[in-house]
Amino acid sequence: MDKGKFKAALKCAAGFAAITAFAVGLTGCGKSSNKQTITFINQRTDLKQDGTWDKYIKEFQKSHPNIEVKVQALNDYATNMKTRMNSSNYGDVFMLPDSVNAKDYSHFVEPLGKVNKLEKKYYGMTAKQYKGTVYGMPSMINANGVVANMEVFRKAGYKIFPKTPKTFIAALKAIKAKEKGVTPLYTNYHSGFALSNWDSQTVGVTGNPNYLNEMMKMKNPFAPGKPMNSVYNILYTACKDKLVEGDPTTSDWEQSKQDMADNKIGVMVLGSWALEQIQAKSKAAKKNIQYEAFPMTAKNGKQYVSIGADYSLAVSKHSKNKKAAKEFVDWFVNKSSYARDNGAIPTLKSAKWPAAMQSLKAAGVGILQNTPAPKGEEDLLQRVNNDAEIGFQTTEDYKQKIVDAGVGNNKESFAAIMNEMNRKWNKAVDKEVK
Amino acid sequence: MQSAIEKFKTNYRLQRRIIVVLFTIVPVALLLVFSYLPLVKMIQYSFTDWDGISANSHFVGLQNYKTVLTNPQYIQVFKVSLYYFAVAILQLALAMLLAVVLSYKVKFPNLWKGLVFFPYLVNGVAIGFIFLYFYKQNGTLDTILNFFHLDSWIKLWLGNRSTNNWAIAMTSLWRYTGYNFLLFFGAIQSVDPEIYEAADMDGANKWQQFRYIMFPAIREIFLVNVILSVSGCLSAFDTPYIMTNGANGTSTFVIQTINTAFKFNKLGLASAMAIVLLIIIIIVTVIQRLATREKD
Repeated sequence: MDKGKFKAALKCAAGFAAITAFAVGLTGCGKSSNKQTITFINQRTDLKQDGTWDKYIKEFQKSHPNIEVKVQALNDYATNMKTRMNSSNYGDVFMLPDSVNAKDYSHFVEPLGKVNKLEKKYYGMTAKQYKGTVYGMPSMINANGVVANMEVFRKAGYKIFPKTPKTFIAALKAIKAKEKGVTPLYTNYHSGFALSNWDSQTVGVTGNPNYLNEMMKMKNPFAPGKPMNSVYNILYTACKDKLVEGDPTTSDWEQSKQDMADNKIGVMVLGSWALEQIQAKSKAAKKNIQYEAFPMTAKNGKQYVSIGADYSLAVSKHSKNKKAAKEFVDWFVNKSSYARDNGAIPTLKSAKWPAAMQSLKAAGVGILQNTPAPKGEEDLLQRVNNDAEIGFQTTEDYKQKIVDAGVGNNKESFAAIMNEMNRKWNKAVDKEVK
Repeated sequence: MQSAIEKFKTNYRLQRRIIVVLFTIVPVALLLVFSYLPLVKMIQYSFTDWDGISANSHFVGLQNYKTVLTNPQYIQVFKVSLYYFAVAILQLALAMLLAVVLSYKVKFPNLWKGLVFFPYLVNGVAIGFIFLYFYKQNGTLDTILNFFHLDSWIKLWLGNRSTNNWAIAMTSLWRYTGYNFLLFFGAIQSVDPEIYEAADMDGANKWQQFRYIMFPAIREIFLVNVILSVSGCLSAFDTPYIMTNGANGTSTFVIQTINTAFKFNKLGLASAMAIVLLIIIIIVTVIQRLATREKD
């Protein structure tokens, strides 16, 4: 190559480089001025793995092309998120852990509106509110009842699901007698979280939407005659009469879903979120597995199911793109198919309910929402509960004790367990209620 | 300047010092950041009523320590450690026996060593699940008993209160025997084989060789193993946590601490519990050190 040619080539290359640099600079500029990136942290690792989150984000970007959403799904979400929230780096949109006290909401997250305005349009506005301001929008709404395999009940001679504790136990006994190899009631003792669903029946069985607000100041809420005593007594009696799985200690959650779909389990006490997961296990399950009210009837002779928020979406106080984050939350609650895909009740009141829930309404079961806690007492239930270390609605420990007492794994009596719970609860009420 | 470099080149002590500092700075920094700093923070938390997330917390003095030490609910779980301790004695005896046997001439020594040590390499979570299936109703153990027509022995191994803690403690025996074995075996190997030869010639039998040559050589290691077992018993956690979640009387002190911190959001109290456990383990270790020193 002679010198002149080489120079020309060099010039050409330099020119080309300059043009590309200019072009890159331009697009770079365009990016920084329009495109915003937000991080969305949640507990659904399963949706991250199977690519469902990517589909939701794609859907979101159809209407919001300028907002990029990065999804992080954490294992053991409640614990890990709690640790992360001690820094300022906990995403732009995230699921607000239940361990955050209501009085601390404003320290961590942005206000999203007023309760009295939003509750006309959405369910679950009382879940994450403090002094009338909403800090979290429910990702979906759960009903608190039981998942029943009606095929199993039909075979035992029960065309409709029992409505009282007495007929319920009788039905379980009939299932055990008539159907070999079928577990009438599966406790899911080992998986922990499942047992706390027994506590969630409180409001439904009383038919009193204000019951939790009364209970947090009540002495002896587990004494005979009180609703929670009756709820626990069903669990205890079922265990004592051997109407549950043979070895509750080693129960298996994943297997239980399959067994229920295969008509090997009669009933499980779970939130409505479980319905879709069990129905998905087999074709017949879609028809056989139904959602029912807990087998107790309120004083007025009617049955109720309470509904409440699942994890709620919140916008971080430290977010640099609060507007984009709020738009995402807004889209998630109003436009996304998340609740529908999970077989849950949508947060948006005007949206269509899943078929399973509609049949519940049609059967004359009343739907209840908790009354918000009085101003200044938003944290009281949580404080009393933590102080008592009973884990009412939050852990499984005492429900496991009841199962063990029923099955005969320990020598405690049902009355003794209720007394212990009362004693701890009373002590906490004395301390926290002024 | 030139002379300073020359000096440095020949000053090996200075060079060594620099190298020592450079090499230790990373592990020391990691140790400080991930071990000592959290410890200092934990001590600080243990004097507060912090819930683990709130922006503010109150200083409560020694209240948390008082609660831990006076409320029987928190202390009585140490009873569960006794099961682990009873099994740990068995475990040490078994490990020592295996080490002694394998230090004599046996066929396929490496195969046996591998088999004994293998469980220690398996992840604790996996072990929890293996034994969950082993003990569950109609699981492996029940099948074996059925095969030998011992059906009447079958129990809910993890459910029944008379067996559940034993069942879990035996799992840790399966898991840790190999580790104890390895320490024993290493100590035994360090004895010069000529000493055994000499003892052989003098007419000492195998038991005498063990009693007067082998055991004195491994006594130090034996005590190390005891200390490790005791602190292991007191802080047993992962196996019971996976197998029973601490339900039905199988809760250990560490499980209780975790529950207090994360289920009941009492991080201050839980920190105090962790510090109490730390102090107990330090005391146990010091007592054992003192006991051995007197014998020497």
